[in-house]
Order: sequence, then structure tokens, then C-alpha cells
Amino acid sequence: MPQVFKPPVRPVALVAAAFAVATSLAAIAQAPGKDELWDVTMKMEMAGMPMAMPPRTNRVCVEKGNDEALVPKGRDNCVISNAKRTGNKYTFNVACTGKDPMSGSGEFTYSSDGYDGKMQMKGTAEGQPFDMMQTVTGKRVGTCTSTVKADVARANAQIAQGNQQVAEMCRQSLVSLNWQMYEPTGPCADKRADFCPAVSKVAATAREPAGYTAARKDTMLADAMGKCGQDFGAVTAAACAKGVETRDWAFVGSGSCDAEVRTAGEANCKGRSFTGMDRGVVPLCSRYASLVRGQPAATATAAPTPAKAPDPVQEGVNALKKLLPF
Amino acid sequence: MSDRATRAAFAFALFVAAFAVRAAPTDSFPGAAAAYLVTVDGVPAFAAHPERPLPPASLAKLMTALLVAEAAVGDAIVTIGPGAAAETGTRLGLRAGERVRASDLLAAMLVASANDACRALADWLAGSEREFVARMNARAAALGLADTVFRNACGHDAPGMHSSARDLSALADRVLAQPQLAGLAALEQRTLRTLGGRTFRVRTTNAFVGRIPGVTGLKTGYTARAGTCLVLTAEREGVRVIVVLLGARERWWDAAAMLEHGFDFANARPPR
Repeated sequence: MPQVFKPPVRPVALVAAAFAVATSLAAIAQAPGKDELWDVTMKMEMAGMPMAMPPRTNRVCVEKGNDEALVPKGRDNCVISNAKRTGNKYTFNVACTGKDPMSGSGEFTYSSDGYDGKMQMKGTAEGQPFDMMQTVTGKRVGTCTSTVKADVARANAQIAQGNQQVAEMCRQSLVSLNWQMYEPTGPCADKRADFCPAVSKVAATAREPAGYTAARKDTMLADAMGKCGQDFGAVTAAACAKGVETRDWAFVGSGSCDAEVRTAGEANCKGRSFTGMDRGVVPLCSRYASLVRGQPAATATAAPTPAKAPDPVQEGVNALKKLLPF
Repeated sequence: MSDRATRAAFAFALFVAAFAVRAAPTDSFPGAAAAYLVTVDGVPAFAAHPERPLPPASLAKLMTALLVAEAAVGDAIVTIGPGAAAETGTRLGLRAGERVRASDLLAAMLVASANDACRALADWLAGSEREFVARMNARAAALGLADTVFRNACGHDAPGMHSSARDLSALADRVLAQPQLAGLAALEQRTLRTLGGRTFRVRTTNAFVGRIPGVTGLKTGYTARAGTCLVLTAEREGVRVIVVLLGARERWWDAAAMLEHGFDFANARPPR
């Protein structure tokens, strides 16, 4: 089965990548066991480089019989071919395609307690030719227990669990109309086609008070309709009209129907005492009171400032800027 | 300190003060009351004279209720004394010598503002109203209610008896933290019975309890000197608004407007 390698961007990067591979192999668990523990020493020489990279030794736990695990690997766009084992020799060719093509061959010779390998690669990187020789010496130093299979299985299980969680999150987001999850860069982008129909469905139920209240409580209907180019104002107007028609004053007075509150409040609240009025009309009159008394919150928190009035905060900032060295 | 350092300190103080000015609550309801305060999740949103000392009327019963709740008296039996039986104003009509559960008296005091129930609890818990008032003032001091002095347990007008909208708002917060009191404050009505078998049906004096969504209480008050007073509390979608009105012009109309503006204020806040 072909192995996939990653081509280097620059020759120096190739060197770094090779060592990175060795480093990652060294992370494998090394508790005593049925697998083989190796000391792998790698050395890189490249024509044209003023000095060779120093050899580096890493301890590697390899599943018994998995010779390829001892071969330095890259990723993407590189393919091993003609891999064969004859007696105590393991040989192979490597060819990398793409922006910086290169090719070469490798040969590993095994003994009873180790191996020697070399890999020659030629190619171009950013238009410059390179010729690289990598030598690898492996020495079996004991036994160990490789965790590669268990790690892969665990990773696969985590990926599957993650996919399941994303699917559930998308399902819930469709119920709550969380449009952010369905943005082109969101986790549910591949299901975007489902979103606006779901919004339309909720919008249809929100045209009467109970549906409107539930939608406002449980979903992001207003923003979602905006994202889908739908008119939330029309839905609100329909629900409010229905609220007035059915004298659902608790709904009409809930803060979404202030235009209707003004009209209905004039008829049902104005000039009346809260202690004497019918209890059903109190929510309407409470909201009506807020429309005819006091300044609204936005005005109160951001009261208009006369054009030439000094801003006390800015004055403080300016004073500090003049006096302090920062 | 060098001249430069002095000027820097002054500039910094100006900077801090500028923020303090900007964060101060606004008077969005001019002339609505002798003093008022609207807090949203504990933050003052609207106010006029929130620290002005004024007679609290029956809002004083909030402290009485707090002390009773904190004493955890449960279903203890209280014998009505002559002082309680002689109470004036709003009352159940309890008779001296009658025996009533403390929890029923607490309900009558909070729901219907019954002065005889209030006085009975004070006398019973501390031995005398005088001693109970001393406890009320000690608790007020412990809570940092700097504008508050009690002269009686139930809020009758009395020289030197005063509180402020700010203090009463803080006190309301404490009262709501007591589950027993929070439960009683939200009742529209309750039936209670003396151990001798007399029954009383009390109705809330709060025109909004059970009528405006989210309203949780809390206490009304009126005396000739204090005028109409109110501590109104409400909670919607996790936001708590407390309205305190002292000497209100049109108590219910302004309280309703303040409540709704309080929730609008919360909705206008940037998300945290």
C-alpha cells in the first residue's frame, strides 16, 4: 500500500521535517512488553550546505514486524513504491509531486539487533536543485509496548464522538434558530439549506401570541429572519393584532406591541386606578404607564449632550495625557 | 509630593469622577415622589434623592419581617399582648390573650400590613417593642443602612424615624433572600386561624402581585407624614428590578412605569 509523504517547501525545511518525524516517533510509550524498543540515530547531509546537521538519536517503540515504522516519513504528495524485502534488506523508491517535486530511493539492511539505512533524495525546491542524503541507524535495545493502535482507536473514537456532538449541536441550533452556527464558516455550514425553511416554519407559528412568546423565549427568531431576508416586523404586527383582537393584554403589554399598547391603553387604562381595574387589563396598563410616564431607558442612559458641552470623561483623559508620560 | 505628581493625581481623580458622574442614575420621573430609586440587578438605573431621609411608613415592617425570619421561629405560638391588641391603622383585629402561630402573624404583616400582627411579633420576639426596635436599629447598622433609624416596629410616624430609598432597596434585597419572606410577599391572599378557631382571610395590599408578570412583592406603606410608599420587586428572565417610592404622587402609575422602564433598561444594556 502506497505511503503518503509531505514535500518540503525548502531543503532546510526537509531537514527539519525529518527530525520532526523522529521526534514524534519518540513519543511512543516505552513500557516493557511484546514490541521492540529501538534507538534510532539520524543524520542528514546536503550538498551545498556549509555544515552537516549533527546526528540525533531518538528512542522509538515499534510494533514487532512493522519495519516501515522505522523509515522516516513525511506527509502528503509523496508515494513509496517498489517496497520489497529481500532477505535482510528492505528497499523502496520515493517520489514526491507538486510544487517542489523530488524523488529518490532508500535501502535498509537489518541485522539481528539493528539496521542501517540510507535514503537519497534529489529534487528542486523553489527552483533550486538539492541533493540530500539521510542515513539512519537503528539498534534494538529492548522490549516495549506500542500504544499506536490504541492511540489510533482512541483518536478515531474521539473524532466519531466529536462528529456526533457537532450533529447534535446543529440539530439544537436548528430548533433555536441559532443562525451563527449556520454561517458559511460555522460548524453547520454544510446544512445551511435546512436553516431558512426552519425559520419560516417558526415564523408561521409566531404570528399569534402564544407562538410569538415561545419563539422569543426559545429561539433567535428576529435575527434569524433577518439573516434569511424575512420580515420579522410583519410577524410582530400580526401577533400584536391577534393579541388585541383576543384581548390578550398580558401579551400586548409584554413589550413587543407598544403601538397597540398606546391605542388600547387610551381606551382601557387612561384615568383609571390600578387598584380598581380588572386584573386582566393590568399588564396592558403597566406597559401603557411606561409609555406615558418617564423617559425611556435609551434616552436615560445616553442623554443628548449639548453640542458645545464639555465631555467630562474626555476632559479627564486629556488632562491625564498632558500630565502622564504614557 | 511634587507639583507634577499633585497635578497628575488631580487629573486622575477628575478622570475617575467623570466616570462616576456618567454612571450615576438619572431622574427619569421628575416629581414622581419625594424620593425614589429603581435598581436593575442591584445597579441604580433611575433615582431622585435616593439618600434623602424620609418616614418609611409600613416599609419599616420589612426589617421586622427580616428579624423574625432570621430568628427562625417556625410554628411557635405567640400570645397576643395588650400592646398588639391596641394597635391602630391597618389591623386584623386580634384580641389580647389570643394565641396565633408566628408564621401566620408574619403572613398577616407582610401580605396585609397588619399592625397588630407586626406588634405581636415584635413584643414576643424581644420581650418589648422598645427592645425590638433596638434590635432593628442594630441590624440596620450591621447592614450598612446609614440613612435608617427606627422608632417603632411597624412604621407609625414618629419623630426621628426615617429611612431612604437606597436603604430600603438594600433591605428589600435582604428580605427577598429569605425564602419564607419571598414566598409570603408573592401571595395574593392567605387564610389564617387563631388557635381559638377564629379565621382571617388577608389579601395583599400590593395592586400588582399576581397581576403583572414577574412581580414578586414586596411591601406597601402609608402614613400621613410619609404619604404613599412602596417597595415593588419583580423578576423577568433572570433580571431583578426593585422600585422604591417614598412619598409618591401616583404610586401605582409611577411604579408601573418605573418597573417597565427598569426592564427596558436591562434590555438596553450591552450583553455581559
